Amino acid sequence: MLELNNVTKKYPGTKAPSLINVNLTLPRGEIVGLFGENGAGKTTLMKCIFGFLQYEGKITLDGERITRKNIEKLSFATCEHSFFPNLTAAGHRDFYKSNFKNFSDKRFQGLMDFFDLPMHKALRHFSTGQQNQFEVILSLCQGADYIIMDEPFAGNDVFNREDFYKVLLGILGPNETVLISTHLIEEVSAFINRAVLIKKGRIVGDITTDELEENGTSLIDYVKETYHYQADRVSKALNAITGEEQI
Amino acid sequence: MNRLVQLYRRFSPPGIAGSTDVVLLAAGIPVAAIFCYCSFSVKYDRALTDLNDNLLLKNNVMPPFRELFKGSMSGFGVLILLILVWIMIRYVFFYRESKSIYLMRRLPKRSELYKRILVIPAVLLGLSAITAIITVLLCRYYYIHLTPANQLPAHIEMIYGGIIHA
Repeated sequence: MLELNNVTKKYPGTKAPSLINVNLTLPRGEIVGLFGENGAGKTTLMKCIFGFLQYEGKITLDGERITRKNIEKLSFATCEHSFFPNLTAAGHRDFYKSNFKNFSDKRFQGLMDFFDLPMHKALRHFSTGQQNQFEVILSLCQGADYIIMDEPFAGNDVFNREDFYKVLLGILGPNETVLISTHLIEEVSAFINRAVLIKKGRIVGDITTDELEENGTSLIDYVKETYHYQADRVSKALNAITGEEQI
Repeated sequence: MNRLVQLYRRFSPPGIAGSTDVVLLAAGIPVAAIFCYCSFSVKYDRALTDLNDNLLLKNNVMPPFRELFKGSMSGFGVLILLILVWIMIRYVFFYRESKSIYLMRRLPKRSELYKRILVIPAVLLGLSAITAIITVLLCRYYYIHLTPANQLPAHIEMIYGGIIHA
């Protein structure tokens, strides 16, 4: 279980903290969507989990602080990309194999074949979509129990993303947990089983898709409701700008 | 050669292009040593000529070693500076075009990042230091053995001064 207790993060020189007393528990085997507007704190939260940023509070993995001893239980796919641009896919496989003892060669080969990615080409020569795919492939093959993805599909076309969701559902083991941050709420609603909403550094919503189903609410409506989304704000703004009544 | 390339890859940021940088910096070590020796021997020869031209003057002795050696180590200074800059470049490599630093920082082996940034520069720094010491000693050896004994400066200065102040 990945547990965040009262996690607060304040960047130097900023007035408001980026994360405020965040409490979150991720049991094994869940696919959790993390949603929030730009700057809500999604990426900061993920970086705190890995210890890339200093924070107040406590983050534990299966009851223990995250250190070098257990960090390989976590993998990370980020839209900023964490691969080596000059290294080939095969080079990455070798690097991962030598550093992560649970690296799954079979899964790696299978996903590389499925997405038809070149094995002996440097990553810098991949298209952005391919780079995203490769980033996610690495995170899925590392052999981690908790796979953290930060907007992994930014730049991929809809068919590509669709394929990925299906592949994800097909290959994930019962103990593998995914925390995925994305703006593509409607797209992922079918494949996540829990949604966590973050707003201005605070967790403002946490609901399972079963609960949503019971309530007869769609994920996007739940998000809009939790965010107090004003449907008429666009027309109001346009009225103010143009001076004309917008429909 | 293949083994050297493999060794270079093991101790460098993954995917770093070529090994020209290491070769150039390694070549800098003998260059710095030659510069050091030449710079010293030019000054020494000039001083020895002056000494021979003024043999009859009273208290005519060779200038202290440290005076003749002054500036001779600047080649090593530049080389060390370049190696330090090179360490920075190797670190920045993990931020270029992607954030591979995230991967390096979540590896089970903490040493992997430092190993890939520091080992080769540290070896070069070590070799530079050893070469610099050998060069100083060589210059010192020539200074003592080529200068007529009665024209060497005071004994204490001769033994310690040069090395401490060089």
